[in-house]
Amino acid sequence: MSKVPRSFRLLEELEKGEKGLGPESCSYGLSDSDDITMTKWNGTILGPPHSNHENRIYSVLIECGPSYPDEPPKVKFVSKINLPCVNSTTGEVVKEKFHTLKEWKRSYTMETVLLELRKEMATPSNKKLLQPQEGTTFE
Amino acid sequence: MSQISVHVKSGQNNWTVEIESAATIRAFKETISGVSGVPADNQRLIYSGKILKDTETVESYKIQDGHSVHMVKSGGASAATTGSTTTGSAASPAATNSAAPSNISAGQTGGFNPLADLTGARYAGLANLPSADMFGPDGGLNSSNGANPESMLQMLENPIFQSQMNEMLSNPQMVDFLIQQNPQLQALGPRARDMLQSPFFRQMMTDPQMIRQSMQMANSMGMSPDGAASAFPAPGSASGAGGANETSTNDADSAATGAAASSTGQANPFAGLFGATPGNAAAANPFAGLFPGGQQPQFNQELLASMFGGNSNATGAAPAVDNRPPEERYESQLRQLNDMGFFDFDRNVAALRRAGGSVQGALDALLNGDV
Repeated sequence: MSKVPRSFRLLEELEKGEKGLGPESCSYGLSDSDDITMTKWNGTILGPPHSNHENRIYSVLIECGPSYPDEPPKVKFVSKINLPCVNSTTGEVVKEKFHTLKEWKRSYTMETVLLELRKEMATPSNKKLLQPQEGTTFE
Repeated sequence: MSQISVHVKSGQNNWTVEIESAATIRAFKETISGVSGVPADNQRLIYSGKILKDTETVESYKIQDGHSVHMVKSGGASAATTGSTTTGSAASPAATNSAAPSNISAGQTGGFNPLADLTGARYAGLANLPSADMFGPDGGLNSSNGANPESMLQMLENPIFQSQMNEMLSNPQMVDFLIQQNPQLQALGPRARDMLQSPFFRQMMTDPQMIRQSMQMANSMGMSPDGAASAFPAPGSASGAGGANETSTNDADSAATGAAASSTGQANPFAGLFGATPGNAAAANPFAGLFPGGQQPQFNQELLASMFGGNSNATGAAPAVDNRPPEERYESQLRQLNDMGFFDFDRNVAALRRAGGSVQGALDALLNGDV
């Protein structure tokens, strides 16, 4: 099976993000649109309904290294959040605790990551977790 | 200073708004409230993963003509926080008193559900939803279960339905959904996507002629009336079609011969079949040798369905393919390649042939210099 080179992949994702072709519940785009290496991305996740995340918008930073999509991106929450797979002091998503990053597949995209994080928020054990005041951020 | 038009999406709603690129986000929100009825204070706009701040301008976020912005209605009046400039997250005091905004609560829990749209207002009076008698008692399009094959054919001949079908299959999300819903397709991996998106598959799903042939074939193969074999090639049977489809797209000529070879080796096993009256099934059926159990009643219907799906596809698609010139056959793929900057028509066609119509495969071939 053929492999899509990194830049093609990221351009595809960029277009999808900008034109809003993806699902409503998440959004992503380049942090700096002049960044030709397409490394740093912003993402937002709309908190899933019927949970303590309802009505909240979570901002994350995504870093797609040079070996993306062979390697998973690094994901870090900007908005404070209380989730088992998120480091509670730095906001980084811990790879070992988040199955999408742990069992990364080349076919996964940033959208997959955001949607899976959103699902993570909605699991029965996580959705009732006490959440920090909205608007607070990790350092 | 220029006027751009931006799509604003919120739940099922989608508005297009004209705005000066130098305008502030606040002014943008005022404009949006004009069409959406949502007060500017209750709007949160998201673009490219960023929450837009009131004080910035449309330009500063590099929002361009034709791009989309998501609008999220916030629950409480959060006017006090809209000026927040510290970080990317516009704070709004925990909206505890508010119910879920309709855009979030409506079918957004698990991501994508294309069927949800069917009940949405956007299809009201527009879609030709099939009449109830088309579906069998089990809700499926299984003609032998009491559904009315005639009305299905009629529906398939409707150009609106055809274009909807085409649109649906060209929507990558829909394809993902289909694959995700069906374990057999999942097992196929990336090939499933290629197959579902291939023009041949679409043709197979939308060409009334082909469906009719399939039905005829189903009859002549003597399938039991209550069997699982569906005349409408369900995704399950399509997984079998994947194999045949791939050969047919790889090389149209060899597909025809390949299909012939895989049956019992008659020169043209299908000619007899289509000419045969349904009663004669056993004699005319060239596939009998393919199945270990012959036509025993306990025969695995699913296997039969998938084999059948594959064969019908090869019969129908191969001749159709031969007649079409490459620029027509690969029209959309060629356009995509052109968009990416590959202008050499002959090379593009050669690469697409080699890759069986897959743009990604063709790109690889072009980039590796294989063609």
